Amino acid sequence: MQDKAGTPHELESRGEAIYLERIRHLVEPHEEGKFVVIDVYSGDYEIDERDAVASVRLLSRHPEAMTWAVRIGYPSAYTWSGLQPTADD
Amino acid sequence: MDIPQLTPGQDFNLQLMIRGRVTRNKAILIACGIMDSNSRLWPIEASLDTGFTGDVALPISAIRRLGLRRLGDRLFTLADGDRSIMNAYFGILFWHERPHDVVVIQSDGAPLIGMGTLWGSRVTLDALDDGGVIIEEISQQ
Repeated sequence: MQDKAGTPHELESRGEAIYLERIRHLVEPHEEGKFVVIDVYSGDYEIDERDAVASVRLLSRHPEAMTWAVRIGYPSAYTWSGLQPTADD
Repeated sequence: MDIPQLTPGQDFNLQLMIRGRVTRNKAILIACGIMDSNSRLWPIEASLDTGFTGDVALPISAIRRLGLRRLGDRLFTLADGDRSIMNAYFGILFWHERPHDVVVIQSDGAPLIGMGTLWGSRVTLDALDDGGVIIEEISQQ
């Protein structure tokens, strides 16, 4: 899983740091459920109901972007075979 | 699991109504198409997984063959409560007769279509061996 963007945990730590320091106070709680897709290189981001749509908009500005996604108000962007708890659960 | 050995576009009709079948192993298989990096359309047979909230999951062999662009990583909560970071790629799925931007998650298993893609669709299925599956777009009023 390692590539030029670093290990998965490096992407996670950079992306989460950008979200917590620069984005979270602007979007919570009124944008709950939407995806914030963050380019961990530039710090630029996009918000949309769909991860793919936000990602395409971000890539149009930053073709070399390497992204991390946060689902606003949820502990993970996605679930696999389980219910999604909210951040309050 | 791999992309089926078919010529891109051959014997492949894009349909507004997506059809599939239920298998003896209780899987729901549907046929759809995904674009490669040269804008060629490839047919895939994927399982519906309503427990997967992402758009599409494909094995790395298929992702490489399609030449999908890496997006980064995405965090998943799994059924046992653990969290897992997975590789994410950008793809274009043909869905309800239109190109549909999707995030493709790298998985170890067979191709999957998740709730992210199904959102806005009506699924009708006969849950028995060789039962029929129909997926229709819900018209937005």
